[in-house]
Amino acid sequence: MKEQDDIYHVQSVLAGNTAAFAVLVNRHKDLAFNIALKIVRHREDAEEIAQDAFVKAYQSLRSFKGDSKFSTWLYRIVYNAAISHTRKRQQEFTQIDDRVMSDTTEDEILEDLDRIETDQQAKMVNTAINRLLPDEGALVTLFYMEENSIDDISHITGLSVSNVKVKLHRIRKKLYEDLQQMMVKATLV
Amino acid sequence: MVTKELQNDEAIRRILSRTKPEMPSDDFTSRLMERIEAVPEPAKGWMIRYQWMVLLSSFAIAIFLLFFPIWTWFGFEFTPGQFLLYYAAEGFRLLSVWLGEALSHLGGMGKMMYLLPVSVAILLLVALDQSVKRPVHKTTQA
Repeated sequence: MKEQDDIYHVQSVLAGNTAAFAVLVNRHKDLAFNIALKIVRHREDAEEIAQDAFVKAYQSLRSFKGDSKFSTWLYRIVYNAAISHTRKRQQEFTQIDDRVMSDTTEDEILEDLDRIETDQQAKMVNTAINRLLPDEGALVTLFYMEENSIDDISHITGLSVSNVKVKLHRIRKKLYEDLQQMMVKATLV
Repeated sequence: MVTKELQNDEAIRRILSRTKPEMPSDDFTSRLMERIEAVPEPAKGWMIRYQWMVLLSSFAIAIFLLFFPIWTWFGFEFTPGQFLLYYAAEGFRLLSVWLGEALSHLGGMGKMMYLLPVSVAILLLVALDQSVKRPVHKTTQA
């Protein structure tokens, strides 16, 4: 239904009703911004990238064939713009591989998290996400937070379906290990 | 294995639910729409921009060429009206001959004539399928 609504508004814009584009912006701006933010990790840059992506989408609207969802097409533009931005800025994301293997399960991590203050919980989870690589952060947003399908994520990122699955598997492991490590440090304090 | 993965994914989602997604600034949409309004429409090709001029010019040239041969190079002695009538009659005659020949060929096809309405039916079905695939939306006034 939402997809058909998007197509309706796209056709409305193409027919000359520019104001209809605002509906599409309001509907998709949050996720577009979050995808950019997870990749570039700078709020102002993420807003600028998201805005540029929307402008580009508006100018290229005639090339949208409708063979994918409008959201998938749009987020692909955002994703590519954010990745290009990181390459231009030559941002380096080094990973400190000091993760400690543990036997703790995810449920136990959840239980440990529950014992910590809400603000601290959010901070820990955000820290764990920020330790991921930029494209991994975007995958976390797309798959775990927004519950996009693997196929949609493949279209957005340009990665193959199997590549997406492998990356998600690695992300799970990294998050799990980082949170476990932070729990250990939190309990020692 | 798949069930374990699903369980792990669900656990990760519950963990990540401890954090809320960031929101863009409140004026994100308004600022963006200001930029959109300022964006010029994509440049159209010159033939589309000046399509009416091109059509009228082509029509004028076509009319001119119908009369031009009469007056100069080809040495025809027709008046303008006679020239047009002559070629209209000649065109009609050639069309009649072609139609007659085509229909006589069709008559010789025998049982293969069945292919003709079948082909037309298939073409119509394809056209219907294509038109049904396109979503039809009624535009409403805001």
